[in-house]
Amino acid sequence: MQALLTDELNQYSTNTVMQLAEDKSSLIWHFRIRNLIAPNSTVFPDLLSFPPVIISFIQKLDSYINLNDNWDSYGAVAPSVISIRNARRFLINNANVSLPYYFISPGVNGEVMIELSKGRKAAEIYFNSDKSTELLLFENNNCLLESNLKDSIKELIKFFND
Amino acid sequence: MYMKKLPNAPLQEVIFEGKWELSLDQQTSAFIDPEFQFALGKFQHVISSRFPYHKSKIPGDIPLQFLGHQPIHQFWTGEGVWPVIQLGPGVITVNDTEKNYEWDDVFFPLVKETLFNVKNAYVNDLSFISYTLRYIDVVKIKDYEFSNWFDFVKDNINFQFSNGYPLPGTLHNFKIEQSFRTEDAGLIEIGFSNGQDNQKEDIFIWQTAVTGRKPLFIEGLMEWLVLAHSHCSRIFKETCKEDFYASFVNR
Repeated sequence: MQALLTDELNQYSTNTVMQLAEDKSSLIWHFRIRNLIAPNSTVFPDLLSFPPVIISFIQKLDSYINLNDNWDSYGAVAPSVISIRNARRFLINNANVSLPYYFISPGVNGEVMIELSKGRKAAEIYFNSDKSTELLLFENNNCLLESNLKDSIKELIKFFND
Repeated sequence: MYMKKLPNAPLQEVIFEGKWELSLDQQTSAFIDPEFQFALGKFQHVISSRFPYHKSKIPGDIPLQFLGHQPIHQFWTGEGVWPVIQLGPGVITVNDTEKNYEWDDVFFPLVKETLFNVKNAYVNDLSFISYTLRYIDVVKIKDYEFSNWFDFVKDNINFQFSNGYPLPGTLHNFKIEQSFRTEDAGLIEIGFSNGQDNQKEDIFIWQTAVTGRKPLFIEGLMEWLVLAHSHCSRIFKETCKEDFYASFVNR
């Protein structure tokens, strides 16, 4: 079994996600600098906090460890360690990126799905057992993009921040 | 004459942080502190008379294994009153500010006492795998002559920096960090940066930290602390120019 929860938070000390602006001539930086001026300082602001929705998602995610095969009584496969770990990494890495986190759930094939939703726009991200990811962008229930996180993270951010 | 404490010390915060080894949980493959919950109760009981004000840093009920080496509980002397002790799975910190700080009679004994309280709260001996003594010093630039950051640093600190190309504008922010490996104490980090305090006043920040990573039990850690402090103390004096240092004595 692979390590699931051994990532140190310090690994995520700086997280920068770049998005092309509308005219593609300038860059808008969605960034979170956990500028560790003083880790564990009680004087400087606590920079290790996560938004409540991220905390809630991580709590749910960690509870998936306890799910066994057939957890839905319809033969679903238990969420894989890889799926849980990669979903967790995504949440930590993008905790302060402007994304409308909406829902998280285990899938029937051992994957983890994170849903984002804002008005008529929605996105589904699948973290699969084979380490792959799938990203689907929807508007008015029409699928506009079918890709993966690695190739389309910028599109995802742009999609919800236009 | 040897002064135990500078009358106008620029110290913003001093932090001791010790991290001990976590155990690998076979079931979840997570690194956890299996004794944490039990030790927390014992630890809190012992320090509660001196640190009665408890604050949890983490809202909700995050699984503890997720927070390895992250402080979860703060124990304050009073509401908003330092010193503060922070405890989490595999980590203890002691934090204090200039108001109370004095090494020989206050901070060092407090760290020592805290570490032994932690030791007594755990059944197994704790092996510390990372430990840092960090000083954060701050001055308001309005208290000094200031024309630009280059000159400010050059005039007050035994350090200077410059750009070897035309400046594209006025220097707005800077953060310079250096680390030096020593044979005895570990890694020494020295950093200079600018910033603003909570009154939005421009400040100059410099940090000196010593971090050791050779596994030590508490007794060895005590010896390391003395060494780390001597490094920090010496470096503080050596980095400050004479007039700058004098401003902490006379201002």
